[in-house]
Amino acid sequence: MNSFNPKNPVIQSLFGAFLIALVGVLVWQISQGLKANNIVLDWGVLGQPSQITSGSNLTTILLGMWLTIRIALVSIILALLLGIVVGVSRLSSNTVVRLVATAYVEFFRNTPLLVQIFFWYFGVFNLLPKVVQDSLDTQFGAPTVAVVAALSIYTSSYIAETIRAGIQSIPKGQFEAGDSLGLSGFQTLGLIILPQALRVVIPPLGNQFLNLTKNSSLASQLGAQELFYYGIQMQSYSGQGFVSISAITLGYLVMSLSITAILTLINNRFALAVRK
Amino acid sequence: MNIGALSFVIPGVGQFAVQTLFLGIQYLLAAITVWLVALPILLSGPLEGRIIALALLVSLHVGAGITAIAWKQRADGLEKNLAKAPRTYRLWSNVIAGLLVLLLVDLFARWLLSLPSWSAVASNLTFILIGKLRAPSNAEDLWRLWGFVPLMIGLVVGWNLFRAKKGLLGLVLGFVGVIIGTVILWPIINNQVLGGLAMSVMLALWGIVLALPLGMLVGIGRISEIPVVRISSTIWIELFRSIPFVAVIFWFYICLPYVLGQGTQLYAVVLALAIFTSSYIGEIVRAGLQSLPKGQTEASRSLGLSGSQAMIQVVLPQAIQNMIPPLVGQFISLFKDTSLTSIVSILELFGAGRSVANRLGNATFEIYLTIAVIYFIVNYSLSRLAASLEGAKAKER
Amino acid sequence: MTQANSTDPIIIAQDVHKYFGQFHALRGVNMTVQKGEVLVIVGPSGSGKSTFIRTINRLEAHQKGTIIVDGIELKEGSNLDAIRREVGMVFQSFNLFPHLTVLQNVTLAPMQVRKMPKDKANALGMELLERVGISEQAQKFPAQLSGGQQQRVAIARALAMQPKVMLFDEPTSALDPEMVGEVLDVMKTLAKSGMTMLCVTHEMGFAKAVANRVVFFDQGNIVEENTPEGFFNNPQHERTKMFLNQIRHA
Repeated sequence: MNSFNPKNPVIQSLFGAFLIALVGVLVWQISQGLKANNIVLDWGVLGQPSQITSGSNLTTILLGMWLTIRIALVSIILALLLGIVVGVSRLSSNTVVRLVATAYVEFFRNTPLLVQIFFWYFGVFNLLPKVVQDSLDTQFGAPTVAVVAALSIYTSSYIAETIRAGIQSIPKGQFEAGDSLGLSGFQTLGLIILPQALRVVIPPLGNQFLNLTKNSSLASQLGAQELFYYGIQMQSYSGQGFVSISAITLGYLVMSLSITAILTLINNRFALAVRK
Repeated sequence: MNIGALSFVIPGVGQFAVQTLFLGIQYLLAAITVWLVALPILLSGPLEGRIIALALLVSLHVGAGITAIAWKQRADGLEKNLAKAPRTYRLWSNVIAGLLVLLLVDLFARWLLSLPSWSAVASNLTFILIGKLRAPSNAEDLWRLWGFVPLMIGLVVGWNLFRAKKGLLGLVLGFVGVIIGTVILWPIINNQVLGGLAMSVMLALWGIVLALPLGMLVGIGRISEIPVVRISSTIWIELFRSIPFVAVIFWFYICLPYVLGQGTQLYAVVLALAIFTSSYIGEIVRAGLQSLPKGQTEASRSLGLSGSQAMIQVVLPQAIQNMIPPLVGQFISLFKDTSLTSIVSILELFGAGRSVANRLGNATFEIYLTIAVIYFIVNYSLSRLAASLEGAKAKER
Repeated sequence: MTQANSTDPIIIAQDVHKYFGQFHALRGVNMTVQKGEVLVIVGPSGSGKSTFIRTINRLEAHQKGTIIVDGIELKEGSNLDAIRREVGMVFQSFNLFPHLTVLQNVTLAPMQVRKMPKDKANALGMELLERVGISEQAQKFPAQLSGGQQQRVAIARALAMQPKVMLFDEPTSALDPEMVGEVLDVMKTLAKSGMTMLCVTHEMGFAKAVANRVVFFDQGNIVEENTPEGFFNNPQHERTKMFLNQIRHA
C-alpha cells in the first residue's frame, strides 16, 4: 500500500547524488566562467611573499586572525560587564533606572552595528579632546578603539536581555525556599539563584560571543587590519578572489567551531542531570 | 527634633546618624553627582535648564531629609507601618533620578540643536529615503513608489494568514498584491535609480520572502529521520551560521556573475541575504518543533495519522505560534543586515547616508545619528509588534 | 462479566526484547490476548509495563522477537499506519491537541485518515462525546477542561477510529483523586461493551471489577499471570506478594 519509504537506502543515495550533482553543476558553471575570463585559480598565492606585511600571504592572514581574536576577547569582556549592569538595572525597583536601561537596550539592539561603528568612529571619536584622540590612536589604533566600543555596546544590549531573562526564569519558590531555610539575601542569591540562572544564561551567552566574533569582521570597513580586511587586501593585490575569500571563510570557520567546541564543554559541565 | 533632619542640610549625614549605612553612602554619592552637574547649569545655563537644576537640588535635600526622618521614626517605633519608610525612599529616589535624567536630556537636546549641519542633512533627506529616484531625470518614474502600497498590503495579508493558517481566498489576494506591487516597482529596482530606505525595505522583503520557505525546509530537514536530508540540512545551517555575513555577500558577489551573467550584483546581494537568513530561520523552526512535547506526535501517530499528517495537522500549527516572535526578531536582524550590502556599493539606507557624509565632509555626526534613528524607528515598531503578538498569545492561555 | 472467546487471539507477542542503549527494558516477554479480553497490567515503576504496551502500536520499536497485531507483524517497513488505526491509545498525560477544540480533537483522525466527510465525523464525534458524558463541552478547548474531562476526551478521541484494541497507559495516574472515578466509569462501560483492552494501571478496584486476567510485570518480564481473584487472594510468587503488600499499605 504505502511502498514509498524515504529511509530506503536506494532513495537516500539518489537524493544524495542529486545534491552532489547540483553542487557539481554550480562549480562547473563557475569554473567555465573563470576560464572564459582567463582567470586561473592559484592556491600557491598563499605561499608567495605578501605585499602588505612581512612574510607570506598566509602570515598576513594569520596576523589578521590574531587581531580578530584580540578585538573579540576585549569586546567580550567589556560587553559582559556592561550587559550584566544593564540587565540587572532592567529589573531595578527604581523606575527611572529601569527606563534608562530599557532605552539603552532598545536603541542599541534596533540599529545596525555598521551604523554604530561609523557613528562612534566618525561621529563621536572626532568630538573627543585632541589629546585623548591621539593617545588612543597611537596606543591601539583609532579604528580598533571605535570598533571595540561599538561591538561591546551593541552586544551588551543583547547580553542584558539574556541576563534579565535568566534571573526572571528562576521560579519565585526558589527565593522563598532559600529564605525559609534561613539563608541571608546574599546567600540565597549566590548559592541558589545565580548557579541556576547561569545554566539558563550560558547557551544564549555563548551564541552572543559567537556573533560578536563574526561581527568583528565589520572592523575592516574602518581599515582595522583584522582577518576580513587582510583577506580583501590580498584579493586586490593578487587578483585571486576565490583563494582570498576561501581563506577568510576558513579562518572564521576555525574560530567559530573552536568557540562552539569550548561552549559545548562548558555547557556539559553545567548541565543539570535529568531523569530520562 | 528628629536627628534624620540633618539630611536636609547635607544629604546622607542624616542616614548615617540613623545608622542606615548603605542608604547614607547612596545619598552622599547622589549629592556629589547632582551638585557637580546642577551647579554649573544653575549659574550659567538656559532658563529651563536652571529651573530643572533648581528643582533637582531642592528635591535632593528635601528627599534625603524626609527619607532619613521616616527611617528614624520607624526605628523608634513611632511609625507602626513598616512598609512606609521604604516606600518614601523609593518615591524620592525616583523623583531625584528622574529630574537628573531630564536635565541631561535637556542638555543633550540643546547641544544637538546647536550643531551646524542640520540644514545639509535636511536637504539630503529625500536621497536618504528614496535614493536617486528624486533626481529630475527619474521624475516620470516617481509614481512607481506607489507600488509599495499593494506590496505591503499583500505581505500583511499573507502574514496574517500564515499565523491563522486558513483562508485560501485571502492568500490569493495577498499574492496578487505582491505581484502587482512587484510589477509596478520592477523598472526602478536597480542600483542606479532606487536607493536609501526604499531600497533597504525592498532588500529585506525579498530576503524574507525567499528565506522563510528555505528556512522551513532546512529546519524540518534538520530533525528528519532520513540521514541524507538531516546531514545536508545540518551542514547548510551550521556553515552559514559560522561565517560572517560580509563573507557570504562576497562569495555570492564573486560567484553569481559566473552563473547568472553580468549585471546581477543586486541578485547576488538578495540571495546572500536570503540564504544567510534561512540558516537562522532553520534553527528557529527546529527549536519551535522540538519545543512541543513528544506526546503530541505520539498521540497523532497512535491515532493512525502519517508522519506528514501529524506534522501538518498537529505539530506545525502549534509550533508556528511559538516561532512567530523569534521570526519577527530575525526579520529585524535581516533589516539591519541589509546595511552591510553597502560594502558592495548598494546604495541602501546606510550606503546613501555614507555617500552623503563623504560628500559633505563635516556633518558626519548628524548624518549617522539620523540614519541610526531611521533604523531605530522601523525596527522598534517591528519589535513592539512582536511583543504585542506575544502578549496576545499569553492572554489566550 | 464478559467471557473471552479463547480461540481468537488478536495480539500475539513472542520473546519480545527491548533495549534503551545499554538498558535491557524488556527481557523476552510472551503474551497472547484474545478478542474481547480485558487485561490489566500491574507492576512497580520501571518494570517495563508501559514500554511493553507502547511496543504494541510501535511507539517503541522492539529489537528481538515478534509481535503480531490483528494478523499483521510489527517490523521495520511494515504498514504501521494500518495497525495504528486498529489500536487506540490513551496516555497518562492525555496529550490532547491544545490548538483544537474538544470536538476537533475527536474528529481529526477520522477526517484525515479515514477521509470521513465533515458532517459525518462531527456526528460520530458528538455521539462519542455523549458516550463519555461531555458532549456539552464540545466547543471548548482542552485547557478549559478539568483533568478528568480531558482524559475522557482522550478516550473518545481514540474510540473515533473504531479501533479493535484499546491501550491504556496509566490513564488515571496524573489525575486528582476525586477525578479518577469518572474516568474509571467510562473504562468499565467500555469493557462491558466487549472492547479488547490492555490497561497499565494502579487501580486495583478496577482490576477486580472488570479484568479477565491480571499480569504482573517486574524487571522487564512477566512474573505472574492470573485471574483477578487468584491474583489478589492467592498470589503464587514471592515478588507478587511483596508488591501487593506494598500497595496495600500505601
